[in-house]
Amino acid sequence: MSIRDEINYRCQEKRLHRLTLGIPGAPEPRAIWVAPEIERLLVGPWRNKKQAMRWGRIRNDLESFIQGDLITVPQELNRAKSHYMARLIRPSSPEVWEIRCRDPKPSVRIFGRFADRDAFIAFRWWPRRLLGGFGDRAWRTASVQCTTDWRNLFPSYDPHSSEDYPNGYISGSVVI
Amino acid sequence: MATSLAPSLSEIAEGAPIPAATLAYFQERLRNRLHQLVLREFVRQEGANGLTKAALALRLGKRPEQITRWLGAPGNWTLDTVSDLLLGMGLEPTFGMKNVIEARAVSSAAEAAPLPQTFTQVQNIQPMVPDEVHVIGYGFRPRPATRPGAGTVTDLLRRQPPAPARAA
Repeated sequence: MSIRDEINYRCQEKRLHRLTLGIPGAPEPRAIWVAPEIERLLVGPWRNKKQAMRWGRIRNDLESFIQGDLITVPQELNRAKSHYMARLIRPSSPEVWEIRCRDPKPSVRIFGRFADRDAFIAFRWWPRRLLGGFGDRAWRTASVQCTTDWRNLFPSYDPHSSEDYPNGYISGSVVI
Repeated sequence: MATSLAPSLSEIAEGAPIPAATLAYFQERLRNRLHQLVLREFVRQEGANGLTKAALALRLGKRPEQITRWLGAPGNWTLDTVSDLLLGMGLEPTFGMKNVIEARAVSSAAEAAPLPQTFTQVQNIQPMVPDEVHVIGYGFRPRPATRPGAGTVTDLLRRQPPAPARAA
């Protein structure tokens, strides 16, 4: 059994949800699965207009990933203060990535791991202001949450790992 | 279980007030598409002509870090940013629009249609886009070096009539 089969089982159990493009028929060279909490925020209902607009924008940021847009990643992994779309938060975390949804405020980070190249599983989301400086305790907490979630869902599989950063994780990535 | 990322478009079809999440989704969609347009062109010119962020920064009178920030993510872009970046690469955008309701309907129909199995079926395929749907994507065209009929500054200077010779 492959990890793709495992993911499908988790989807049948509704412990994961596969995100699809809104306009059917367009190619989906990448895939994202999300935890139920993130799925609920993507679909609504939302508490207020601000939350609705924040997650409306995140929907399209994730769609951009799925439809194969160029994804910018940093050259140096510890360069936290720059503009890019995704980052492997190594060395503090084992194979945990963040997808950044920066603007408008409040900035949001979505944390997850790759099951395979171009196959991202998003487990958690954090408002950026709660994370503090890069390397602070909250970053480690987010990382530990992801690894724990991974172990709960896929106990017999390791996350995707590659020496070829970033193309070993995301095809069509651009180092900025 | 699959979850579609696109919001419901029923309000748009009915002429009802559009929900905040739908507005935000399409705002971000436009921003991301413009970013992709510029980023793809930069990557293309980087490979083809050796364009660098430093060279682009020099052309635009900006610091290279600013170009890195702009290309990295579209967060703080304005319309002026798009214009500057494209012009720095010798381009300007061209425009078009499409009806989102009809575009989605056409895409859905295309997905629902069975794939042709035989050569005859392939020959009989009709275009899925009805004539009245005006679909034009985003694009850009190279900015002409000069307007038609005009020349470069050097040409214009050359065309100046010679100054009359002064009488001795």
